[in-house]
Amino acid sequence: MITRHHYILLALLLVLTALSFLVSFSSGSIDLGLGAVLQQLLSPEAGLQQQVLFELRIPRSVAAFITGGLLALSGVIMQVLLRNPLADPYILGISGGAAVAALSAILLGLSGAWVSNAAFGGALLSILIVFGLARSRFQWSATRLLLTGVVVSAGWGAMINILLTTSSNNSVYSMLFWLMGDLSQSRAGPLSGLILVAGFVLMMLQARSLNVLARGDLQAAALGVDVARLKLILYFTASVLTACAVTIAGSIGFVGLVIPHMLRLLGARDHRVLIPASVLLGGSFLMIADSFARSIVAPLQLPVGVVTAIIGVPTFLLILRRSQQRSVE
Amino acid sequence: MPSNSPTKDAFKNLQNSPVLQTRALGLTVGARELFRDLNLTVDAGQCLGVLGQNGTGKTSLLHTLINLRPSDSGEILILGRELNTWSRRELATRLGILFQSGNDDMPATVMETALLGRHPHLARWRWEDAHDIAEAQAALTAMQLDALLERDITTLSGGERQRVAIATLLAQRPQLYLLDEPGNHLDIAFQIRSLEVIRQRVVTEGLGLCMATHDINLAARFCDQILLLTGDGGFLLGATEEILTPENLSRAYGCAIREVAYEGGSVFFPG
Repeated sequence: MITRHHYILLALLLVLTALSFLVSFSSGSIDLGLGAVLQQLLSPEAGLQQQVLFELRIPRSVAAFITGGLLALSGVIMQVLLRNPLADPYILGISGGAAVAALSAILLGLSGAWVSNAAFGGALLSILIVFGLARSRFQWSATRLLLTGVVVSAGWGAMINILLTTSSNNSVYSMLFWLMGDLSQSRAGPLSGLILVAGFVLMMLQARSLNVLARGDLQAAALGVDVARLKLILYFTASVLTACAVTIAGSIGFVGLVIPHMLRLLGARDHRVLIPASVLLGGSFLMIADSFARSIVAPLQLPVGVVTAIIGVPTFLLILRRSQQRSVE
Repeated sequence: MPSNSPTKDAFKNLQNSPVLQTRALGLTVGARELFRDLNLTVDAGQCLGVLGQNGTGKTSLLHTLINLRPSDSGEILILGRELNTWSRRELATRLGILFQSGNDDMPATVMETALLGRHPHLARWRWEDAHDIAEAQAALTAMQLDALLERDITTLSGGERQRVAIATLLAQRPQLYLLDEPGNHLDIAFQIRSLEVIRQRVVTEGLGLCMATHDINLAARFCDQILLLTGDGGFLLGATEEILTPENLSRAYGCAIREVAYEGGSVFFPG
């Protein structure tokens, strides 16, 4: 059921998204200013400002928005698939597989697109391993899937540590940036935008079924949902979304776990509201975090994964505390 | 386009065939045979009670009837049509179940939860309309949950959650109600109230009810027929007064059970 409250929430998120784009366009080591950004957007004039905006800022902001949207959407799906509010996009080991492959590529001296391609390949490998191990005769138990994912993750974690401890100082630095999540090298191609849109549409088609699935497999089946099929769709959609996000920006933590939660605490529990709201808030949140990452200690840049946690932790705790007070009243 | 009210076709079925029928149904769990050759008939307006010790297959039987687990042999007919020929969603518009325990880890309000009962009646893209909301509202009112509509179900007590689950089932408006321990967590007033609401629908609208319970007195009060599973692969099936005797119950439960006549009915208690 959609209420006025939900419409207001979505409208505010749209405004927030627009503002985040403007802030993201204007911040960085060369401060453009909102006025200059607006002017350049409306009537571009050749020059340094135009070059910075169109060649650096816009592609990076778009990459941040897409990555944030992918992670938040994947988080929503994982949480309902595993029926566990603590699930995040990385819980099934996708980022671990991507990391091992990406780090191996860095170790071999590769860079740029090669690292991204390796990350995508590693993510796919991990998806298939977990899927193959967790499935037994078409029965999907959330616990089994979760345990398999967590154990496979631990395996990847060990391999990451081996790679880090045996590498030269120089490559360890790039590896750490990759592991913490970093947007400075990223360009989101049109493919990742397309994947976000496709994932969004597919999930909106299943949104009411997701509400039912959140009440348990049995209840969902009794209310007419083909549970095995739906879970298969959810697993692969969330996996591809995560793989895509990891390919763009490494493993940025926190967005996928906390954005869906924040929105649920703000009243968006119905997936038909939660899904669009998560994409908007996840995207805006990562753009803002990235703006901080490149302006706080400019001209140096922090990995954006660090900033998402620094902003996100207190914000989330505040919302959690306020909603607890409300439910006590 | 699915309609919100039962289709003409369903009414035709309802008049001609029993709501639920099993033919030579057999069920095994692991290596253990729960029962075989079960021939049940629940006609329109009738309530069937399923009794038996722990582990005799009450829940397994209900899950089999709603196609959540396969049977070993025999046939199940829902409104005269073989169970396997129903699609999941179509089945969910006719057949509803109250599970023994729900899953309430993920947040949702009481109203949102009751509205899930409308899910099978709605096409993929459709939102709940005024009719669906009125249906959920009426179900919640029947379970006296009006004051809790916006509460998160994760903050409710066990009994309140059970009432929300029953309201969800009422909002689903099935033609056959399967209830697994409907009295779970409920105080005695709500045990009676919820079964009265369902029974009234069953009788006035010509539906069917099949409930598994440990409460012999509740079954005696609400059921026309009793299926007493004896746990050794056998069962007793018949009219409530025939089956609910101290001898049958004592044998089935392996514990002495006595009966006291009281104002035209009887009360059973361990003795």
